[in-house]
Amino acid sequence: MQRRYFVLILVIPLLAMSQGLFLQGFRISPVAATHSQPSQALQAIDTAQSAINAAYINLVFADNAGSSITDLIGTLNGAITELNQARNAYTAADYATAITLAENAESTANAVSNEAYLRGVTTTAQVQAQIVFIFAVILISILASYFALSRWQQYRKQKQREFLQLEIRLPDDEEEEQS
Amino acid sequence: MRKFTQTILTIIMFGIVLATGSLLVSVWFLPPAEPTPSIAMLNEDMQAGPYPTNVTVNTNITLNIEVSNYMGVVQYLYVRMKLANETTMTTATTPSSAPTLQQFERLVPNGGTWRFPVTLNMTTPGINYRLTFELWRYDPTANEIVWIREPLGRGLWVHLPMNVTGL
Repeated sequence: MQRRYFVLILVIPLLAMSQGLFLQGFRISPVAATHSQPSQALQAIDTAQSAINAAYINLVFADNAGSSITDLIGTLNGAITELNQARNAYTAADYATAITLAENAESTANAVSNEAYLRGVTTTAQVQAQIVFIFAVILISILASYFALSRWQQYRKQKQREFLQLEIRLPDDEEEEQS
Repeated sequence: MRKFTQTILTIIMFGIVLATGSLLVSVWFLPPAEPTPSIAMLNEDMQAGPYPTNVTVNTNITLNIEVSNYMGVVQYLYVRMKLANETTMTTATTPSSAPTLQQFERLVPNGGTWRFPVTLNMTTPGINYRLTFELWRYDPTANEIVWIREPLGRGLWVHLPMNVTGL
């Protein structure tokens, strides 16, 4: 009987650990959460700041490309305000609020970052297409002008030749009339 | 006819030379515009003076800070408020060594202006205080916040000399 209990005591924790239940239960224990909240809040604030910095870099890219980014600047400024509120909450030891606000700021910054990059890429492609189109129009215009001018020159030469032939014929006609 | 073609070609060539020449002159010879932001301090009534230079302890004073971005592209700007004295004050080339009391940050579009009020309460009496506002920016290349300098190396800041007297 004692041997059975001994086996159960050994096997049950091993099974639980193999399923990750033991570790998971330990991780979400209230004691552990309370101890790690300040560092979690700090990490969330750092991550949000990095996300805002990355979003700013993509905004610069989009701005340099010539995209309209006024709305994105406004949205990212909202994320910056939220991050400052998170810092204030952290200073006031309200770590749960700090984490929530920092995560919101990070999420907003990531959305702005993606949108800014997309706008930058789209505008760059549009500008390149415009440049190619303008060069094509200029090239076609030059070729068309050259072609038209040469055709017109040929036509004029032909007319001139016809006119000269007519002029050469005229004295003969006069002579014929006199005779 | 040949003369007409020659005239047309001459006009086209002249146009090309003129356009290319203008472009080259503007790129190589004309000095580029110096991109510099600006920072200004205004009083409570949004005027450039008079400022509260003699204040009493525990009295609220309000100032307005105005920052403009002429750097050609959106900027991530920071204004750091410091209370310096004669030994820790900002110089032309070095920021104040006094601790930052408060930091304000915002993205300012090119050509945009950022204006915000600052209210503070002086709790310690003293003379020759320098309430300083330094303009910093996030530098993506260095991945750090750097003090903005003019092309000649002078940093951007404003300060208000003030004396704080007891009741």
